[in-house]
Amino acid sequence: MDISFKNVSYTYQPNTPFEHRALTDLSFTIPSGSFVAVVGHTGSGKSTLIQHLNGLLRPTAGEVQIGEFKLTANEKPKDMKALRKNVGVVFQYPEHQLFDETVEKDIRFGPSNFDVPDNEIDKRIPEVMDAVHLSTAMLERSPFDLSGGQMRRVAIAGVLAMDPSVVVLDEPTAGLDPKGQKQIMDMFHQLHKEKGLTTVLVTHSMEDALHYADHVIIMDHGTKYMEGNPTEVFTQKEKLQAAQLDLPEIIQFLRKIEETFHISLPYKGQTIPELAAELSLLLKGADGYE
Amino acid sequence: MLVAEKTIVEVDNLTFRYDLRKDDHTLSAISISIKQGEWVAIVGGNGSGKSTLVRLLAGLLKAERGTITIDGVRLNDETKWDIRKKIGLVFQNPENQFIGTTVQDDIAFGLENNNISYDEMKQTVDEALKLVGMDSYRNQDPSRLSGGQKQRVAIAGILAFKPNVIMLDEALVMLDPRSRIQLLSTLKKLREQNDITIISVTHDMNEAALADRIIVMDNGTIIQDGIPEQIFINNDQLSPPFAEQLRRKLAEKGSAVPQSYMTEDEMVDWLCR
Repeated sequence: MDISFKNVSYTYQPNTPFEHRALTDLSFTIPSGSFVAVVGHTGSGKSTLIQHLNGLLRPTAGEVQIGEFKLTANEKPKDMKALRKNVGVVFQYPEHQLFDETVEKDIRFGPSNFDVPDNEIDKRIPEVMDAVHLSTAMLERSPFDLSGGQMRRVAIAGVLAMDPSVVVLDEPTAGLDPKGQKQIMDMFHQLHKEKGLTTVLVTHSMEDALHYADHVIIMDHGTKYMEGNPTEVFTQKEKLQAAQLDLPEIIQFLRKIEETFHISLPYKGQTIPELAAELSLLLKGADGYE
Repeated sequence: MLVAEKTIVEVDNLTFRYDLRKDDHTLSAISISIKQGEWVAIVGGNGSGKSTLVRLLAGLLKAERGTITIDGVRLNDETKWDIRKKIGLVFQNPENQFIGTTVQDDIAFGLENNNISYDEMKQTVDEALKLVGMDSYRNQDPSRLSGGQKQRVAIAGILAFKPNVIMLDEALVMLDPRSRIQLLSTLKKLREQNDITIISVTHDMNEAALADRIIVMDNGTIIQDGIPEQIFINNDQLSPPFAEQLRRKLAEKGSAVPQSYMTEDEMVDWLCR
């Protein structure tokens, strides 16, 4: 589903002493099937933005369009439920939402609330368990007996079981160990490709944004500060620093080398092993002249 | 040099299991000694017992066997109330602990419970909020703040107590990289000025690399304990900081890189030699 924001503003608790403007005149488009990372320092409006994607919030001004669903200050889709079925949101610490006696019941809860027939849910459960790399043997266990990483996977399976076409991820790897973080992100990337999902990732990790996204939106003070392909955006050091953001580690490192060596070593999507190969070639070259 | 010789936290043979009916121990016979002013990072996979250990240290859980001594006082049911003034714990998710309707009330709450006078309380709240850079938010509702801002308020709530030891249980995960660096340098400054000991449970290896010492836990035991340079060289299960990852790959490619751990600056210097 295509997503577009047209001049969207959002104010929390308007006309009260607590009035707080979180989004100001925000416009962007996310074409269907893209993987977009939304990056910005804390309080820049990222979480407010994503709550518009499934109608938890409606803009104070402007217009949000998600597929055929339209949200404005005065207008909400007739069928909000259909919107929410299409847009699956994985919130921060989604495992805090687990509540049922067994993993299976917990996963069923979402789709059955959206009137998905039982036999269809039966079919989806092994699929989503497989997608989050959990064994179906776990279905009868209590979700509360699982490890943190497993609980998070169960919560994610519950979102996937609604068969959404848009998946919104709010810091999905927070609190997981490095291995778990990589597994979860690789899993979402794989799902994104296999199912042709539109994925919106909110993250503080420049590395993840660089590695997984094909488009980046940088938020600052409730407005869109930068937008574009990750390599383009993440090589603009001065502009990023003005928004209190840093370059991804690998780009930072390349910059340092360029500055001290006075050579050109541009970032072109190389991984650490590829960079190591490049550097050892450079080193050999240098040794040759000695 | 910052580290005094005084031992502030002494853990001896600590053993714990959540379910006494089962044999699997979350912690098995752990012993650690931490000096005042030391910065210790505790790392390890999910489920390795890191969070359980800090909860035991704060007296939130009771050990099955073994002892904990904080600043010379043995932790038990009678002493835990006094010990909690010395050892502050900042959790992963601050949302679960907010009480006040404004940020400043929330920080004052803990102080009120300890019979601090109004004037002193006012000053302490001011200082704590400034330390975490949240003084302009003092009249806001904490539940309306962003994730990272909430974490700063929770940390301010602990700082207000001027504790000897601050334990962070993954407390920086929700912060953006820049605020994380800012808070880490705030904590570093606090440690230098007030001789505070910091125990930080973390998955962030860049953060762990800043510590004086890293303790690696696995399956309820300590498998390594040493300075970051040693730990990253000897443990290939941990994801080390970027420069160290690059150093290993360069070594694989046959470059004559040093065989010891390198920070990013050291790596750049080495490349430019």
